[in-house]
Amino acid sequence: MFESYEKICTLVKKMEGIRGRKKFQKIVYLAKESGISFNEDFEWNNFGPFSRELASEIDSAKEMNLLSESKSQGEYEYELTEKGEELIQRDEAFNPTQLENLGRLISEIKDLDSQELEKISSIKYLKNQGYKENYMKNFLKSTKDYTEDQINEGEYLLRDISIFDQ
Amino acid sequence: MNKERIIRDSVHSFISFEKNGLINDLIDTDVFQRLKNIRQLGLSYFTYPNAQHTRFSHSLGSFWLAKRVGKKFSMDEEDSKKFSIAALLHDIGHSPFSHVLEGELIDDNHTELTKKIIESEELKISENLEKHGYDPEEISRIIISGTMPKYLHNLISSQLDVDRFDYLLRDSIFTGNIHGRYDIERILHKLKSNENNELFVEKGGWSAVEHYLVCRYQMYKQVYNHSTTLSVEELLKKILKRTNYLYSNASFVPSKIMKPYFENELSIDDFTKISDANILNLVKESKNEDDEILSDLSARFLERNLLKSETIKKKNSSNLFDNKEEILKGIEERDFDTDYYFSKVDSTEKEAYKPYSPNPKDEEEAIYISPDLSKEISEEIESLKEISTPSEFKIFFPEQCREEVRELIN
Repeated sequence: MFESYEKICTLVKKMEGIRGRKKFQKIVYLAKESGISFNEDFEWNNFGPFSRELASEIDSAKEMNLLSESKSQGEYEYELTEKGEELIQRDEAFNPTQLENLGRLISEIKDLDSQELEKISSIKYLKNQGYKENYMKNFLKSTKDYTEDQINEGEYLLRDISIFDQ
Repeated sequence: MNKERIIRDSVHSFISFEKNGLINDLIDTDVFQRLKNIRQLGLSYFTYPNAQHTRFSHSLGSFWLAKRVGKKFSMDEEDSKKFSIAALLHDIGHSPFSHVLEGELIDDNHTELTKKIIESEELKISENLEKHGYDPEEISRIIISGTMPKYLHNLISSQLDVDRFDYLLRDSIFTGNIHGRYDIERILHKLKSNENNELFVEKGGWSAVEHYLVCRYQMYKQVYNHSTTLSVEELLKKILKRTNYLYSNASFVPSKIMKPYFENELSIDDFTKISDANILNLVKESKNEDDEILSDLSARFLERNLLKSETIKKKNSSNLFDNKEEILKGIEERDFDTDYYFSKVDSTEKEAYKPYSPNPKDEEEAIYISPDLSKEISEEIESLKEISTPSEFKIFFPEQCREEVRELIN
């Protein structure tokens, strides 16, 4: 009955807490793109792909005492509560393959910061929309002030995520 | 000078465009005309009988507002044209009852379908755009992702966009619910862009935006999130779920036009063939099916014998949380299959219509009121702090289970 909450709680547990709402958004986006069954729809916004539904779910999970929220240095931090642990104790949110893939994805992107995750998820989103390389680069340079080097770096980071190779 | 085509509109009085121009050509394609047969508010007419207005009139209204915004922003002429074309086409990917069909019979969401329809070589949209010198991909980018300048996309999809500006007024007029009527003229005068092409509202427009946000909140509560409408939507979802199940067991034969929807081979051409009437016909015909669940669900739809609902605030949801299995057991014990006679709707699911939240935690949700984007509207306008986004679950179940459900959730 609470599948979408089970999924985000499982993610927070695997991440051992998530620092930053932008990071939360981008990790779910990348997980969804790698075939893990998150159901939230993402749309383009000023900071790349963003899901209003996910933003509300995070707030709801806090309200239902599944996640705790604290704020330090301007960033929100999310941890799993006891009630959240209780919700996911049967580990039914994802099938075993998805759970394994989620673990693999997390191990590869866990240490990236919000800005890097914004960059790679933006590149991924625009590529999925069929943007040609040149247009994508010009678009990112103009709307996000990225340099050529920064975009190339983002593309390297994206290539390093092995789950997208499959 | 080119002749004008003038359309009388219930919201904007008159909408006009060149008789021999691109807008006229786009409107007169069959894929755009199909929007005349798709209600803007889906099943809301179960609650508000006059909510029969269509995605066609809303699309025209959005186009008209985009045209006016283009003039107010003194946009470059070409940007202004692209913006109004994008506004006209922004809903072209909607199916009938899209909030119900997406997820049951359609895998793609309407944003993905919008892109496919605009760029498809089989349909006439891309042909017309190219004939008039526009790149279909660029138009779908303005709607879906972004383009330069930045505010073009934000004016189609943000807290202050022409889509919301139009549907709020239109839905208010056609439902007869006066709470959605706000001062659009003032907002249009005071909505500006800074040197980085980002949107903000000048001081003289703050009160009008405050009123607009209160209107949105009221419309969400009274129209978009109405329990009766949600109950009918859930019923239709269950009917489609059952027909899908029966089809996969060779026990249901859909009409020729609906068949591709059941076969997971939906081409964009198949997608654009159906309208509200095809779905309503499917329900009508399903009433006579041998399958008891399907015929009962369909009869309930046709006779407006809906599942009952209870609303549970999330902050008080621990009983629902702890007793979820008990609730389902009680329904099963009364011989109702919970796959078809129980639903839970989370307020997070109504995202398209979600009201504004004060002190947004995500920058994407903010409405800025200074050119340097340092101030957000709820920091300045006290009354907005009182608007809290409804955060709740609604559950739906057969009437026979009402007492027991109430005991378990309270």
